[in-house]
Amino acid sequence: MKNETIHIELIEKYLEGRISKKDKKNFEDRLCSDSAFKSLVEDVRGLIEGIRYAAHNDLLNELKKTEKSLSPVQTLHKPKTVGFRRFKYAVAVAATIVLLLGSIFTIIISRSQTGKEDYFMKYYTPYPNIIHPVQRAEEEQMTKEELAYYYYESEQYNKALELFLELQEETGDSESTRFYLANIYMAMGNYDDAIENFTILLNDSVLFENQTRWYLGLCYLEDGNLKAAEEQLERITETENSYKDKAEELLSKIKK
Amino acid sequence: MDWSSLIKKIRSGDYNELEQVYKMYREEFILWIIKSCKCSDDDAKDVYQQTIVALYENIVNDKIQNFNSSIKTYLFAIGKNKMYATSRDKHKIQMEIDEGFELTSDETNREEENTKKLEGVEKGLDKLGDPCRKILELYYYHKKTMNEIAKVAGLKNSETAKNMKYKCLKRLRAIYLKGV
Repeated sequence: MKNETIHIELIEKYLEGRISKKDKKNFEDRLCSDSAFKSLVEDVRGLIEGIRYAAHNDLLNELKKTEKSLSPVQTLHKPKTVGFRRFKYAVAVAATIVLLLGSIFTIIISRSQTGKEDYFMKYYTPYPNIIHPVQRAEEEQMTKEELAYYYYESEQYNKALELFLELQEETGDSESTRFYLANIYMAMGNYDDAIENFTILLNDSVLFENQTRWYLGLCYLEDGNLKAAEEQLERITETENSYKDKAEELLSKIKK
Repeated sequence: MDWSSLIKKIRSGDYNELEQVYKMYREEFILWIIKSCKCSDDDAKDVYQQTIVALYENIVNDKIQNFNSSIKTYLFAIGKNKMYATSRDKHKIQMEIDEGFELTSDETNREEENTKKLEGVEKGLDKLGDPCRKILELYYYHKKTMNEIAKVAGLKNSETAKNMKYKCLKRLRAIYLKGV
């Protein structure tokens, strides 16, 4: 028993590199000749590794407990890249449209009453439907995609939202689908989801870049995040494009 | 906070000190991770927790050498590595599923075997219980001195703590060997 303790002490020294040259030589010779000693060394090494492994996990778990006790990090949303595809969510959104429209209406009224200039309302018009212009066909004869754009164009945003979410689920994520989806959220006054989707577009694509920055800028403006709005508008003014003049005009007004 | 006060705090303190550090950089770091890897809140939190543990381990093991960069820069650099490691692992798993085959190289087998052993010791520690578990973890992982351990574990002095530590290690070995 006593011997084992002395052995372990020596093994520790060896493993930590604290052993003298002479002892090291003896130690390594013994490793070759004494199989019981060899297995003790392997065991001690394995146990120490295991203790570190367990303590590492303990510490991680402590941090997880701490995290749970804290309030959520601000501006952290539910993982919408997955979540917003859920049909259930679409239904929930549809059900709150009336409330949302009501609140937008209230905001508009209250702003006009205070006489404060509402640049958002002045500059915002929903992006036109350029993907599937309505051909005046019967609704029954339209494909799901045509119908989705038809609802979008005719400002039936709750129906449009439902179909766009389905399209995204069925045919995969495309730039135009996400762009119009973001526009629908925006038209419905759900700026959080609009911003989320516009931001994803900016990270992934360039086709709708200026349009995306324009609408994202307006969302930020309406959300009260002036700095972020300015940043998007400034980016638009850096190149020649059809949004440049509007962006410059709006920038000069909000900077006043 | 600068490096020397952080290191002093972590080395001499207990979990509360690390918790303070965790809270200090939490918001900025988690938002940054979400933005950089477009991952979920939960994944971002995992990366942050692993990063803080890595910071802790580097401090107690004297592995921090470049004191020129700020603590924040250092944390973000660890975070970046953790992020890549996580996505690499995910990619590996995804590949196994996609290709319908398992990676059965010797290395993978060794890794699995090693993890099994570590988990075996962890279970052994569960059986061993405190104060032995605590003493072993304080010494081998948290790198506390025998004096500090004696204080925390309420033992007479460093010599008692040292003897106790050997006894605990021997007991753990016996439990482990019985379980294998």
